[in-house]
Amino acid sequence: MASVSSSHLILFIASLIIAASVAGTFTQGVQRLSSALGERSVDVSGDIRTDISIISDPGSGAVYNASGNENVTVLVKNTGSRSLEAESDQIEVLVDGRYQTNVGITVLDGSAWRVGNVAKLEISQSLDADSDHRVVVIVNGDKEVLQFRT
Amino acid sequence: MGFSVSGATVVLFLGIFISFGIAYTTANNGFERVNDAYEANGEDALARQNTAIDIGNASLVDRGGQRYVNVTVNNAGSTTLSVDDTDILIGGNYTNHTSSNMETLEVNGNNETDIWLPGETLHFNLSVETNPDRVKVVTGPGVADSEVV
Repeated sequence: MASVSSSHLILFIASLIIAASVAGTFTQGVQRLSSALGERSVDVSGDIRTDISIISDPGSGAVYNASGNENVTVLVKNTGSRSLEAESDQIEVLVDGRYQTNVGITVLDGSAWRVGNVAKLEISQSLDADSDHRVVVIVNGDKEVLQFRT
Repeated sequence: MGFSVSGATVVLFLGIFISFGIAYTTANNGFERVNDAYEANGEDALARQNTAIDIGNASLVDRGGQRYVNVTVNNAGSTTLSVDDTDILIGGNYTNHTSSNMETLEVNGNNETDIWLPGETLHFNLSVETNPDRVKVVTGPGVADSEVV
């Protein structure tokens, strides 16, 4: 009789241990998935809130400085609903399809690139005269294109 | 045997309930965060649709040998704009509101206000060294108008 109840006890403890480990693994997996989902939602909402507009006037001839330093100046306004970082590692710039690494960024009307503020992008890139060019600016997945003639 | 099965089931169900609680909270928070962002985006798009400006006059005035660019811009939309968020490009170059060249910057004769209501006129007058070819005015939502001087 005693052997029957002790075997029952062993089976009971074993089943509890197995159930607890299964439940623990399951909970841990769901927890990991949830934290990834939370971080992703922060990224996605940030991308949705990001909106930029290139406000340079391509008709004025001030985009490309042909006689001076031979650089391209692009004015980008933050028209979204969040502050952006005016850092060159956050802003991707392509001139005629070529990725630019030498980009100087300054915020013209404030200390940070808040909503409504304008950042000036100075790209050191000499371009051919009398030809068509395009500059692509990408911030948090938001892409803007500026076409101009030198 | 009966106790083992029920005990294991209780533990398993407890685990499933806890996991569901965690997953639901995170999913709900994340969904709300993304939804808020979409709502803000939609409101911005609506404001942009309702915004319109129209440069009424852009002229070069010579007063005592000093050249001035004189521009009036009418808020032709139905949104209230901010003067601080309005950007002025003279000849393609950004001109700061606090720049020493800015002689006047006023809305309907008031130079203290930041609010530019529908139907009101923004007027600015700034001294220039060389004759600019174009003037561009950009509002806070990104709606712009340009004019040949």
